Amino acid sequence: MPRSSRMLVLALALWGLSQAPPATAADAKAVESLRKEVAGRGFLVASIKQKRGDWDLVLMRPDGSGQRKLTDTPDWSEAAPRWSPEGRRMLYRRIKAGTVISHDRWGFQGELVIADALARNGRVLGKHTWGCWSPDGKQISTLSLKGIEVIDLATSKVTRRLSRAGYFQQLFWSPDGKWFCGTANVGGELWTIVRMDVVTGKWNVVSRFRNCTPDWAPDSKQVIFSNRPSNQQGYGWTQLWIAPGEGSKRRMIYGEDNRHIYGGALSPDGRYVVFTRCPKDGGGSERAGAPGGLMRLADAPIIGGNSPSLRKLHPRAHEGPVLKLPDLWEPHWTYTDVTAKR
Amino acid sequence: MPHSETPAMEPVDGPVSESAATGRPSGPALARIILLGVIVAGLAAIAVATALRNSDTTTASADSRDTLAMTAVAGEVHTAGRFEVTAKLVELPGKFLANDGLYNYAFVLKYEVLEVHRSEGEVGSTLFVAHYNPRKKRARVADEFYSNLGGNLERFRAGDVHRLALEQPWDQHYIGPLVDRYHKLADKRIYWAIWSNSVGNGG
Repeated sequence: MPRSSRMLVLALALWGLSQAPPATAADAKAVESLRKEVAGRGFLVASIKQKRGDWDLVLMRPDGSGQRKLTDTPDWSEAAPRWSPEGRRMLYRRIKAGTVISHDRWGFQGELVIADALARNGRVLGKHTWGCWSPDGKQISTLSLKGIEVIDLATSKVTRRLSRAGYFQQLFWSPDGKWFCGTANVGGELWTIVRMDVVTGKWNVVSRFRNCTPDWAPDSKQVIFSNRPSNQQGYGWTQLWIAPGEGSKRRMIYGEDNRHIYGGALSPDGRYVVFTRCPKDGGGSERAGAPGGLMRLADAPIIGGNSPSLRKLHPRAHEGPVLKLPDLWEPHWTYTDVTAKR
Repeated sequence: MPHSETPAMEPVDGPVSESAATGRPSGPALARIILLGVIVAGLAAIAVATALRNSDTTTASADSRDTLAMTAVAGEVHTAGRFEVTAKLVELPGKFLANDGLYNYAFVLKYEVLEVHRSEGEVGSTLFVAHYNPRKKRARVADEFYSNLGGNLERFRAGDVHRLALEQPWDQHYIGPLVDRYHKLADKRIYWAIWSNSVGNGG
C-alpha cells in the first residue's frame, strides 16, 4: 500500500474512533454491574431460530445465561410466548415449520397454545388470533374480523364482543384490566397506537405515525412501542418509545442508527426493558431473530453505536449501559421462579 | 452477409414415358395414365372431405379454447363477492406506499360506476374500493392472509375501466393497515376488492 494511502486509512480510522462512543473499562464495568443486577431477577423466554429452520422457545436468565430449550419440535415453530400474570402458565403460538413468521402479523398465524410455565403439556386452544391474557388469567382477549372477543378459558365461550374500531393487530390487555392497546387505523392514518376503555369501548390515540408492537407497562399507565419518526433522512430507523396511555408527551427509550428496535418488553417491576436490535426492518422474525438488548428504564434515553444523526436529535441521551443478549425474537419476562417444582 | 449452408438443388433425372415419334403417350401408357388419374382424383376427394371435417373440428376446438381463455381471463369476477361492477378509476389520490414484502396495506381508490352486474343492496354512482397491496399485479396479490384475491389487472391508472368483484363492508373482510386519502368524506361506504380485471382504457 502506498504511504499516502496508509496515511489516509490511518486518518479515517482515527476519525472513526473519535466518532464512536468511548468503549472504556468504565463502560464494561457498568455493563457488568447491570448484568449482576438483573441476572437473578426471574427469567426471560423468547423464540430462538434453530439451525434446522424452525423456532423453539428458550428460557434464560435476564442476562442471557442458563439458556434452556423449552420446546424442541422440528415440525413446528413456537412463537411469541407470554407467561400468565401469576407466572404459572404460558400462551404461545404454534406455527407450522417452514412458514415465514410475519414480524407484524404473527398473531394471525398458526394456533394459540396454552401450556404450563415451562411450555409443557401444551393444549391447542384454536386459531384465537392475537390471543392475550386477561389480568386474572381466566380469560383471553382476541382480535379478528369479528371484532374484539373475550373468551372464558374454562368454557371456551365468548363472554363479550366489542367493535374493533380501527384496531388491526397487536392487541394487548392492560395488567389492571381497564384498557386495551393496539395498532390501528385512525382518521386516514395507519400504524397508530390506540388505547381503548375495555368497558365503554371509547378510545384515544397514544402515538401517531409509523408505530407498532405496543405493550403495557406494569402500572397500566404507560405504553411502550416501536416508532420510526419522520425527523430522519430517508427510510429512517425504528426506535423504542414510551408514552402515557392518555397520549400526552412520548419519549424515546432506546435508539440506534442502522438498527431497528422492536420487541420492547418491560420487567414485571417496570425497572428494566428488553428489546431487539435488528439491522433490517422487521424485527428479525422473517430471518433469524435479532440481537437482544437490556437496559434500565431509568437510564433512558440511551443511544447505541455511533449514531451521529440520532445524537443530534437527542443531545441529552446517554450511551448505556446496555447488556447484550443472544439473537432472539419477542422476549417476555417474569419474576416468578418458573423452574420451581410445584 | 451470412452464407447459406444449404446445398444447391441438382436437376433430377428420371424415366419419361412418351412416344418418341409423336410426343404423345402410347395406348397402354394412356390406360395407365387414366387409371392413375382416377386414383389421384379419388384420393383428392378423400383429402378434401377429411380437410372439411377437420376444419369443423378445428373451429370447434378454437371456440372452446376461446371460451376457456375467456373464463381464465374473467377468473372469479362473476362469482366472487356479492357485488360486481364495471367502473372507471377516477384518480390516484397520491402515491402508493412501498410493497417490499415487509409491510402490507390496502389503499382506497375512487371509482365512477358504469354498470352494476350483481349487487345485494344499492350501489351508488361513486364507489370507494380498498385494494390490497396495490403495487402488485392482481394475479400475484393473493397471499397467506388473503388467498382469494386475484384478477388480470396489472396496474392502476386513472381513467382505466375495471370490472370488479367486491364485498362490503370492507372491515369484515380485511383487517390491516388502510391508506384512506378520502377519510374526510363522512359516511362513505368502502368496498373490499376481491377480483379486479382490466376492461380497457376508459380515456
